[in-house]
Amino acid sequence: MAVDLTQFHAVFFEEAAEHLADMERRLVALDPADPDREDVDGIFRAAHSIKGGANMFGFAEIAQVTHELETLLDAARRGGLQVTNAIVDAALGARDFLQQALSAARAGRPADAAQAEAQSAALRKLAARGAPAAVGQTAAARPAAAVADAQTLELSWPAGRERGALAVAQLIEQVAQLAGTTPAAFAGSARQLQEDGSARLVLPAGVDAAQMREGLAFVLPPECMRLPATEAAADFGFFEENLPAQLAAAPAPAPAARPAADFGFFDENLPERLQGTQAQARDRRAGDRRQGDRRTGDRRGGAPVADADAVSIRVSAQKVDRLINLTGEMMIGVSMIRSGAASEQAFSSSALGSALASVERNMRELQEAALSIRMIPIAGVFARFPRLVRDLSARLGKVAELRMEGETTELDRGLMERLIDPLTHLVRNSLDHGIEPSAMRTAAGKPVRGTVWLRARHEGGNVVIEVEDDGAGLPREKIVRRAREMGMQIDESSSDAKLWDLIFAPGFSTAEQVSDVSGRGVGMDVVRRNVREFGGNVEVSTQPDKGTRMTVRLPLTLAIMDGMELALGDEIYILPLNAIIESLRPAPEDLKSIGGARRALQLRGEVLPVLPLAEVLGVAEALPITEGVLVVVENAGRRAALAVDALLGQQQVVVKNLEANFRRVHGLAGATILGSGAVGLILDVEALVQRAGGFGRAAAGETQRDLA
Amino acid sequence: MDDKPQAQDDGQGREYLAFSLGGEEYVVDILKVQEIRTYEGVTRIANVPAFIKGVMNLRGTVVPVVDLRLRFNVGKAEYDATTIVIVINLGRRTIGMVVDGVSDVVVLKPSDLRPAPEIAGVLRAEYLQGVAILGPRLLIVVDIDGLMSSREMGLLETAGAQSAA
Repeated sequence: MAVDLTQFHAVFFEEAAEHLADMERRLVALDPADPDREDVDGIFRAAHSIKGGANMFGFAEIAQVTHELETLLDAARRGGLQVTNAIVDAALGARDFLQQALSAARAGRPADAAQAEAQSAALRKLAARGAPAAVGQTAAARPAAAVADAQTLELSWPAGRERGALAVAQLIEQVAQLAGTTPAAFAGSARQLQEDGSARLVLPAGVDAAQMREGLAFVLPPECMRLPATEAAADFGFFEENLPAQLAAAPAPAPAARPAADFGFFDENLPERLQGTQAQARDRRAGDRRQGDRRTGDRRGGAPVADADAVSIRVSAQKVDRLINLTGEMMIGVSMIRSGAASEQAFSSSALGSALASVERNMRELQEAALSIRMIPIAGVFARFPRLVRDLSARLGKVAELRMEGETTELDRGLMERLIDPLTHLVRNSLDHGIEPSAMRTAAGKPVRGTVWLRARHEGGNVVIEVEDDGAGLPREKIVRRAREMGMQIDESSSDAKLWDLIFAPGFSTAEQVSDVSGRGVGMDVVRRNVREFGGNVEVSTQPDKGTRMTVRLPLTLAIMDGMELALGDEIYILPLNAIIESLRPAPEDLKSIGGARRALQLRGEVLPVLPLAEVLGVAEALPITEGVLVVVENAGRRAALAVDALLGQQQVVVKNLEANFRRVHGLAGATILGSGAVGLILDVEALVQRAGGFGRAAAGETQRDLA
Repeated sequence: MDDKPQAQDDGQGREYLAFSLGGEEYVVDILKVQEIRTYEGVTRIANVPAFIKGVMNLRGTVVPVVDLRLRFNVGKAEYDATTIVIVINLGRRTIGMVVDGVSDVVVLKPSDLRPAPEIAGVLRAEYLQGVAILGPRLLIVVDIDGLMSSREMGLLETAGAQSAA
């Protein structure tokens, strides 16, 4: 009977995506002059895992390319093939193809077979170059390793992995296969391994210890196996873990010898764009290394195989949201008990009262804990940027390195995905507009290699992300000129802050020519709009010849918001607190009527449009404006006064989107559950302010606020 | 949610929830029905069609409620303690619908079903899977997914937005 494999597809896609991300990270970090063995192994493992899944599920193209990639990496791993930039690039290309093929497969479309063939051919060609050497090297090495006669293999079961009979049997089968015998030969050891978690296996004579070790590396962390013969072999400088000597089979070549070999590859396999970037890439990598061991340490710690302490489980976001929902409901239940209990004598001073207080406290903690599940380190977003900087600086012919700080800063998963586009844009801008060409940098007495920093940190209830470069800074004169061309009221005496803010105006670009990277004038306004959409802000600071820093400030989580509850008739609405400037009871003389029905509020010399919310929201019995409260709100520099019956108070609300089960509704930003258990609707300030319209203020849009 | 309708068809048939709407009796696959509730605590949403009554809190989830009586101009749209909301689960979406009343659960075999006649009932034929005759009763089998995701219900953005979700 056939098992329906499609049910496992989702798992495969998810895992493959993780492997691809890991592969990319390691490839970009890989320094051809001194390839980190662990990285090469990691890339190989990733390719191998994807290949396994692809074969099982019948994604032939993916299997084909991963197979070639695996062959190439295996040659590099065994040391026969010198890792070059050409290999790294080809592997990155293959990775990109795999990503495409995977998303095609996910969408149920077939992968591009022609491209798979092209990728495979490129990889094969590179692998073929290393092949003769590989044969020679391994042939020489093997006998040395195989000298030992009967050897013992000491296995210990990895901590944190479940020691099931099936898992043990699989491991033993693997060993048997590598040893060229049958699992039955190790039956006793298997039992022992299952019972004690460790066992000593006597291997038949002639087993290649190196091969055994490498073969098992896929299923067992290195510290869980001991092959005495391998230790002996270490004397040859061959198998030692974590030592450059381990790469004896891939001797680090004298630098002088390398360019010739590299160019050989370039001529055949690479577009000319890389010619000039090779040195720069090496520079950058050297810089990466110089940056310190901390990062290397981090990376090691995050290695997927060995880390038994950081146990994590994969849980669907739906389950997490359900948990958050339920804790939210419990909170509401508890607060309903609390308000009921307030009137009950029994609760006021008794054990019941303190029990309730402790339940409330625990509930709050439970809710925080539940919400924290949604928080993940920003490293997931940052991970894509080394590659971006590498490719882009090559394309722009610039020399630049990326430094990242605070990758462990956590923020809401939902924010993460939406951050990618704005951040990508900012980093691109830094490379394209910020970092100068090498000649200019030299002339200015700066280091040839430009630096782009990507930093993240928590600050109060916010996450702050900075994209900074040590480039030329924003060109003040150009901005002034461009602003005038666009008919803006700007002159040389305008303050810096006003000028810098102009780059966020729609259609504003000072780039002399439009490159395929940036300069089309769409961008910064979109970045600001995106960031503001999820309650954040972008600021710019710059110094001529010193560089530019873009600071993105975001709320910690999308899931919770500080809101103000408003009463309108017998309905309750929620207004985001950060949009509220002030509230007031208007005196009749402050309210002017403009153009008949429209009303305006005169407030300290400013004239604000008044929007009667009851009318907009179709609330039947609301108070007349003069008897209610006006709430002054601001969005994107525009202000309006919303007329409501009363303000009920400030409340932290759990934000739920209407789209989950319904659709977007104009004028609403979302919904939440009120203390009463009913749904409360969260108003969309942007839509309301737009609807209120401006009295001349709206015309210049976003920049108006700073210019006024 | 993965059970395909065909899987249970061999032999004893499937269970359907019967509800009434404008004097006609409809049935919906009981596996699509999450629960039945009374109509209460529905928050009105401004500027949506009148038959979309608003949203309610279903254990922390915000669920839209539509009144099929208003949508199809049948029955009297009154709301009291006996007004019933059938909560329908459409894969990833949950939707509440108000009907005239819920009668019972019936078991229909595939052989009981016959094509829906092209006559104008309360619901258009394109949202019907067929009709079944059970003793004196004529039961109309609703394609609830088709109905709820149809443009005329206005519950989803557009077809495009739906597939992007």
